[in-house]
Amino acid sequence: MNITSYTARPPQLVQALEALGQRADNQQAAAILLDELCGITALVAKKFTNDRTAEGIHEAFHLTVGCISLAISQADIADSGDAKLSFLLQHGAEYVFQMGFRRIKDLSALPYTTFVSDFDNDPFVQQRNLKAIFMEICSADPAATWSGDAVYQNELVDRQRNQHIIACGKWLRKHNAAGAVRDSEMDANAAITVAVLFALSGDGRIVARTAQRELEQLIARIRDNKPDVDASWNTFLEKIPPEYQPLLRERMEQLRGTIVKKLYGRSKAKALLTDLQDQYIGSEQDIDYA
Amino acid sequence: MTDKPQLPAIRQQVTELVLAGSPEHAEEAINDTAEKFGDLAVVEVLSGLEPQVASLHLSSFDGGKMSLATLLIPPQAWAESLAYFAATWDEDWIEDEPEVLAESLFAHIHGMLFGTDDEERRAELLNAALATDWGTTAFAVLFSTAAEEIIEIANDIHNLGAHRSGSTTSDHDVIPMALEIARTNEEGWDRILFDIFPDWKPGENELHAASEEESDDDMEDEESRESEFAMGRSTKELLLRLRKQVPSKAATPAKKGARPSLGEDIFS
Repeated sequence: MNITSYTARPPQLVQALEALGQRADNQQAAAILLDELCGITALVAKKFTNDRTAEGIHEAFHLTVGCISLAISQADIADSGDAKLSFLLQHGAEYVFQMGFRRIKDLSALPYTTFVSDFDNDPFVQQRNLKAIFMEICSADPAATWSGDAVYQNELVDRQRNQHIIACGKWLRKHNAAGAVRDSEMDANAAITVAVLFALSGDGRIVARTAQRELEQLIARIRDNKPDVDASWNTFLEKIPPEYQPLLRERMEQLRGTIVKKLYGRSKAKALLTDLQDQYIGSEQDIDYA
Repeated sequence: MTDKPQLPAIRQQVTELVLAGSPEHAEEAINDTAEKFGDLAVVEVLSGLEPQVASLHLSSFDGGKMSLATLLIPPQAWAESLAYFAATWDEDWIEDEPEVLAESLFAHIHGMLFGTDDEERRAELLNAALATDWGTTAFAVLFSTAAEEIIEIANDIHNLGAHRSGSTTSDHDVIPMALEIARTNEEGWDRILFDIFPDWKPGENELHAASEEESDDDMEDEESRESEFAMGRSTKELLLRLRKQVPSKAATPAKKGARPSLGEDIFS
């Protein structure tokens, strides 16, 4: 499939309007559509840009075009201008805009990174993130090509993955062998790495948070006993719900060639600890040496 | 009157010229029409103009320059066009120079009413304008520029009746207009007064003009005064009031097939 030709095309709304131009007896539909689009633009300008400057209105106009185009692109319809037009006319521009905006809102509610922070629940931050993602995806110049739908798809996949990683990190924390970890902030990737590394000890314990002393003990045990990597990991995976297993296996494969190799190798323990802290699990390691 | 198929075309031409910002040429077209088809044809053209267009045209011919339209526009059409007179004012302007706006409004209304010598037409114009809310407010704006004098006349009229009062100590421009209104349309006169002095109860409290210089620190004072005096609205307030009455949208019949708007819910 040629990706360029698939993404480099005018916004969906423009395609629908071009189809409208081809239809006979289109005056009434066009007049209603114009009214609706003007109304939406005014509301968008009021809420997101600036309804008192030409620039603000212009930006709102692009956002309107983009948001409606996004809704059309995500609707389950044939990829033809006529089908898009029918969809638009059947639901009315305002409802189609609403569909697009709901997608943006849902997207904005998904985590942008795998790092959970206290700010995620701040309404101001949420509003700011919503506006940022709305502007990023939905700004469509009707006279140019638009790839916001592809951006949306990629972003959606990314964020769903982030959400999955966070869910996995939370599960690991909750089932931490030394008691559930209570901390409002979390680097989910680091928590998963901690769990995968401690699984190497082969006892099937789940460890989602660590400190330097435990890491030293882990290194010592691995160097002394040389537990079998795959056997240990399999023991560990048996305790994990199936939905998180693929994610953990993936992480295991990433670590196998790098830090695991070093753990089983001859690197100095001090260098290893620094490496772990800097590259892998820094934010899930307690600062205190206890 | 014979059928004149050209009239819609002339109306269209006048509308376009006015909207293009060339009232002189529109006036020329009106004059030509008068010469060719007579005054009645002009009346018909003017009565068919959209009120905002008529307003735009008339407002460019007040004071010194007289327009044939001023003399011939049907009272009803003028009253409707008056609603749009304030359309071009913005709030900063009202804030900064209320006198200038009130002055231009006065020039327009005075020109309309006293441009004609026909007393009957003058009365019709007054009655048509006073039958509307914006017309009433427009007169209230004019009177508020001479609030002291208007209070004097109002008290006179209240005590003696409209036809026996008339001599005032002032020679302010709006006085003849005020007397004219009080004599032709007593109900309209009352409504104008009510627009300026919403709290006035004749016999119970006295009228008092709103003064711009009043500072905020005599607020306590104000409360005690309010029971004694009916405070008037200032010119500025009345101008804002008039501005708010401008129809925000030319009345268009709702389009068939248009669905009810979601409004802000499009973001929900």
